[in-house]
Amino acid sequence: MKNQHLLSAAIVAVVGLAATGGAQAAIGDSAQTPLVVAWQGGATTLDPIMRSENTTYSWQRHIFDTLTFLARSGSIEPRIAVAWKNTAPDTWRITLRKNVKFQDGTTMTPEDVGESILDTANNPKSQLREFANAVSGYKVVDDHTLDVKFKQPDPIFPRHMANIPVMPEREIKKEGRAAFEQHPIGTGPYKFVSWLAQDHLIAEAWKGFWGKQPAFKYVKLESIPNSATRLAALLSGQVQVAEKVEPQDFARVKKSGKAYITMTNGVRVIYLAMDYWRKTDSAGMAKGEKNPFMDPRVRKAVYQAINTKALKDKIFNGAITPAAQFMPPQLEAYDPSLKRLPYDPKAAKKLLAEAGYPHGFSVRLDAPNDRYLDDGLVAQALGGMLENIGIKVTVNAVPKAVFFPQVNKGDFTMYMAGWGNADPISAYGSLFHCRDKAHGYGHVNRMHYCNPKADKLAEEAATTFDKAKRVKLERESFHIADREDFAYLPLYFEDVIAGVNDHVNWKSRPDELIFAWDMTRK
Amino acid sequence: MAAFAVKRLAQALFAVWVVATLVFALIHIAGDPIAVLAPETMTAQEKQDLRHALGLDQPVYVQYVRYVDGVLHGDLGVSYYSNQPAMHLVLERFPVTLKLVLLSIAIAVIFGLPFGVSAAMHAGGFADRTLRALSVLGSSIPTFFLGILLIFAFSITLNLLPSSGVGGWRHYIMPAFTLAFFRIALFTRLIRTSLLDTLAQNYVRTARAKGLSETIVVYKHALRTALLPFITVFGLQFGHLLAGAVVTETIFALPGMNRLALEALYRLDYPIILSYVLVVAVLFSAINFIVDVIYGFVDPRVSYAQ
Amino acid sequence: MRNNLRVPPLAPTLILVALIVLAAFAPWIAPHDPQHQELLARLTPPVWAGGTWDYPLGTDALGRDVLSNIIYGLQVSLLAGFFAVAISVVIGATVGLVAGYRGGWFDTIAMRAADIQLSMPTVLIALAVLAIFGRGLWKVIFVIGIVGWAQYARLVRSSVLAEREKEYVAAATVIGASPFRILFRHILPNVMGPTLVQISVDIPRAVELEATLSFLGLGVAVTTPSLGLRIAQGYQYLFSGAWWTSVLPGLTLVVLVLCENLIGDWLRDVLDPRYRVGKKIKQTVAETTATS
Repeated sequence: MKNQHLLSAAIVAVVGLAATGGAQAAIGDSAQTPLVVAWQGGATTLDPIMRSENTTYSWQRHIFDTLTFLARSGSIEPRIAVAWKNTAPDTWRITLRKNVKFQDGTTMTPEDVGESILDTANNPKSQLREFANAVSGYKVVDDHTLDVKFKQPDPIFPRHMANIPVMPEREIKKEGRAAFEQHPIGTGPYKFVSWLAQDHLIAEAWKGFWGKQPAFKYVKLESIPNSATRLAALLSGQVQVAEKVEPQDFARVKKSGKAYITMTNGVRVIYLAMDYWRKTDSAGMAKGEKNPFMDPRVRKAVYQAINTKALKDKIFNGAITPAAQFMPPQLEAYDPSLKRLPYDPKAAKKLLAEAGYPHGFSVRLDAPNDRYLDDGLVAQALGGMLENIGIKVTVNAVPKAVFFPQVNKGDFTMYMAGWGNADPISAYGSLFHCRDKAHGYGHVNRMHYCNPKADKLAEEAATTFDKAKRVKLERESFHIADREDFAYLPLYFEDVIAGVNDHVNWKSRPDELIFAWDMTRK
Repeated sequence: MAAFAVKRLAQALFAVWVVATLVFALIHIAGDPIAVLAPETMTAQEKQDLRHALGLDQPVYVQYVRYVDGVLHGDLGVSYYSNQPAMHLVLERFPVTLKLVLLSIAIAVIFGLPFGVSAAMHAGGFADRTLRALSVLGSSIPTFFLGILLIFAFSITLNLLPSSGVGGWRHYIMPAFTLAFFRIALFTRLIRTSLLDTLAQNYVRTARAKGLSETIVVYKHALRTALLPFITVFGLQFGHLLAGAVVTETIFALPGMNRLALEALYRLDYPIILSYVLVVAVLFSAINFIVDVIYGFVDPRVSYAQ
Repeated sequence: MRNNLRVPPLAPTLILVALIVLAAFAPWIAPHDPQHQELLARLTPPVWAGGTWDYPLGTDALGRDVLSNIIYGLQVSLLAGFFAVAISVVIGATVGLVAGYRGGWFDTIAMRAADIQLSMPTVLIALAVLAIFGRGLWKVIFVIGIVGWAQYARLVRSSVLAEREKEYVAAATVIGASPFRILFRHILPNVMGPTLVQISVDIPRAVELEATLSFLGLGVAVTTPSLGLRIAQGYQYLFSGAWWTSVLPGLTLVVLVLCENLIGDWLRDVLDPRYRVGKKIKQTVAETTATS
């Protein structure tokens, strides 16, 4: 009897302990109760140019500021750079914000900015080189003005500046990058407190920040890889924002009364690519077999065999937007007049028959299974849909670490992947342009798509400063690829989903980045 | 003793070298770290620059010589994914793994020892059979599935314990228990068998004949000898736990060094993989060495001259 | 106490046989193609929890039949267990034989390698190898098989050493019997017992290891219906209430490994001399305690 009392007392004590752990009183007000944001992964480095991967990038942008900033709508907002104009085709004149300080108290100089741009462009370990690789140098005009010089004209440099961080270059040169990374110093809204690589970062609002103080003074950014446990942590109050809530869990969040789902149309397009260059012996087909995808009718048949509405309703619980084109609405090259061709398996079968495959054929579909939202599931669903028009598909969904090296060396006939759209010019140049190593074109064009006519339009767009003219050229080039050649088959844009505690006000961003300083109290 | 130690040390160093070299050779067959590291947007030239910056454009034997030279100077290179020395990143996470392992060893001993003793004392009886059945069950539940069941019960359904990360002692309860579960079964069996063997020996019979109570016989006389094989297994298990925690760390998202190594494997972050292998190999050798020495102290029959 | 040790434990044996039959006749028994997806029927609960008899154990996130996946998953588990251990035995026995017979440098190197191998955790080696060479059922089987050689090498080698000293072997060698004859007539029968015991320990271990590797994402290909992989895939859905996609394959795995372990346990009692001594001890203990 007595033992029983002891036992129940112990249970009460444990439960009580667990309950106090989830107290909501003053989130973000003290170091003991920080605002906790949970990602699927964790940042590998705090060196702000070393990784372009979203999580690392997000964590770093709490400490570091960028020259400009992309709003959710896609428009470019001033940040460290408050104004910009191109004074000559090879020169952008940047006006810098006054009285910006680094978190060690030193004042930011134009040299810091100029060197940061060059560092981004030239550091061999920089993964942001594409945003500055047209830069040849800089000239300080006065204390807050900088002329950036270019090798080739770069009409969209203001957009690129949204990716260029400002670093205390003198400090870095003095103490070295490894030491700098141990204690990173930037001009951003939070200052570094402590971290464990790939696991968590603790930061504190910095009083000397030039802009608005963040609503939450103390934040902890952390990694919770499993989506089930990440959600459990959100609903138990251990974390306040959790990225990538699985579609099947939406109802659970809504029912909980503690959190809500935020969903935004994303810029990442999920597409199908098909071997465009091997007439026979394509890697994902039987030896000696003809490659059916050389025929645009077959590619169109695949397009029309895919039921994006079923994907949306059955797999994603509504959390995707079927794509009518490669470009998302947030980018200037998006053409609002285009509609997705209808899902029509009968028409698809007819197209196959016309192309000489009345009984279909067998092919392997390669896809990653840990890279995009429910990617393995989608690949298998696609396999099923293609089977309905007689194409026998073997789905090979593998971890991204296996997938990307494999498709990069051409070992595929048909693969599914995604592209996080940042700007039309780099998307076209990387994915669509005829492969041309010497000029750095087509390095992601794994399927060897090649249409010189469209290339010419895109190249012209890349050097056109007049926006209306540029947009027209961009749209034309994408139209040829999307609708005449059926180069890539855009499937859908991933919605960016996160679960947010009811005491926090925040909307997810199309580019999948998450900033705690962007969140407010509710 | 000194000669024995030197010989064992030499053997251990040799083993460490063999393992490190094997892993070096294996990962260099693996494929191209740049293909995983570089974002899609990087051009061929930029990839080449990166390759050069990381020293991956050198022939493999040059990389090997550099690696060995680095090891001798205590420098295992910098992670491909940051500017930090790889060894620092591994050691930074060592305490979490160590805590987890020590805790689970403690749990395994706390349960395994009395279980084993009572199974042996009541050999063939109800307690013995129950414990035996439980220990078979214990070694039949895969660690990862046990972890999932615990998370399902205590985190998701009852919301009593945190399911991931580290924050306080409560974060270690489920992982340590998950990791210990199999060892409880193992230790129970081991102690049972070895205690039964000892109890049958002459000096124990003598003690019994002197009219000492069974408890004193077991705890004062027999258990000491019975623990000998236990020490060996304990040593081996300790080593295996250090690295076997990879599953537990993954399920409970503990930032231990094993999970770091697993992620490094996915990413082909060679310096981290090699640092980790070195740490594990050294730990193994050290533990085996210590076990040998302890064994010698406890059991006078072991001669270091051998 | 079991009265007759020669009879294997009934329940585990029956269940194991049933599981083997299920796996062997999977194509005829499984109600669905394990890969077939019915997106409209995804996450259907098992029949007792509100599902239908079309999918007795429910469906997973892709609308695949859980029961069929379990049946085919058993096939994978059993294949992995059997072939991996077979590979270990072949490699281990060969190395052990050569090491025992030839001695010298080969023996030294082989035994050092066995020490190193035994001191390294298998999961880790397997993970490293699979991370490098990619996934696939046969790759998994080979890896598990190869990392398991050391115990068998030791067993066979020590038996060879012991036999070599014996007079009848020396005599047989003198009268010109071929080494193979000696091997089959004298050595194999002697290592049979301990080897069988080791096999009975290793098969469930291999089954578990395959499941673990697949769970960690480095085992079989995602389309292979491995129990470990299905548990991993279902794990994501545990929270949204679809426990069956993960728990049912998990329980099947536990039952399979448990039966194998129980039979192994029995086998050890029968075959391993050390355990027979243990039995004698038990009697002695019982006697002495009775008298004191």
